[in-house]
Amino acid sequence: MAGSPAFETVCAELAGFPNMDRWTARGTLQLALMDAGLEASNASAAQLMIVVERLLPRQLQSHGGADVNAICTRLRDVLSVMPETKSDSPEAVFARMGT
Amino acid sequence: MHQLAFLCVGIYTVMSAVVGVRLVRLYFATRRTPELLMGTAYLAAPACGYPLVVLGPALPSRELGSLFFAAGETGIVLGVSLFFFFNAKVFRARSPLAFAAAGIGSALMALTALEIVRGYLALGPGSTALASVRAASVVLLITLGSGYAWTAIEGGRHVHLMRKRSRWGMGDPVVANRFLLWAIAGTLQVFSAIVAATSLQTGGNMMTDAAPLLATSLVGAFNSALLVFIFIPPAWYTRWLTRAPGGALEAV
Repeated sequence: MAGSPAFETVCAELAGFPNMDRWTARGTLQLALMDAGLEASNASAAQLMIVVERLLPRQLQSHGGADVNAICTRLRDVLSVMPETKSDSPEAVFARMGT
Repeated sequence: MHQLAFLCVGIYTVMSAVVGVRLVRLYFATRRTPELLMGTAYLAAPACGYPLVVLGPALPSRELGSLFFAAGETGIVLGVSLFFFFNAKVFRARSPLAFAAAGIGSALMALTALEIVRGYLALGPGSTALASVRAASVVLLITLGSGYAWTAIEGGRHVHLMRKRSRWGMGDPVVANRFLLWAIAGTLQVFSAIVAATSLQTGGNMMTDAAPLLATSLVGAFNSALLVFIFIPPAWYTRWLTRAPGGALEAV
């Protein structure tokens, strides 16, 4: 199932690093998202920024030889220039409906 | 007993109408589909459908009563169908299976309601004596209950997700609480549908027997209060939920 634009962007970026391929990148990021209580289909850039800062390093450490700092810095740079799009995630919908 | 039931239906009708109008007005500001689906669902089923179905048989004029009943059933089918599609659109937006389930649920609602109205036009309020009408009513209630079960499950799942997010400084505790109340409302509706379906299945009359009347009425009244806290939360309630980091998440 396709992920949100932010998720797909991070996956594509992550897959370009050594010892990573498309499926490993996707799986690693999915695990970090699950720990954070997020879903790939509607994770926003802001939410992924927190995941990259706080949860992804631990997942990446299990990949031998990965330069965790370099990867996370690059991913943060990519996310920081992503525009925040209006979301119809369940959280966003329920936030709007109670206003 | 009947007076209490009418009072509860009245409260639920008024609250649903208020929430429905608010959500439709919100749609005109945001132009987002979920607001329109949910707002129209509340206006069609609990605000118009349920009271018309209750009022129809109570009217002295058979023709007018039939018209009210048929209009009420139509409102219920429309409202519940929109409710199914709200679940699919909001919680499973990328799943064709969810939209298929919503479509099947809507078709089942429409077909069973058609049989119920057909029986009512032929026999009036006594139509529940017909085996085909009873069977259709049971299937309608099961479909309705399944839709609310879907709501309850999605609400509960999102409470769980929001709890996890709160550990990492994400997620609004007010929205987390909204998911919890949404799950509770769905669970109560499932309970109400089960009681009503069981009553019908065992030869009872859900419009006159104490157990189904009490269950549906009290659930309606309780859910009216939940509607307020979900869609029109008072300022003191929001303050209470956000009194501490993770407020609502600790409270649940």
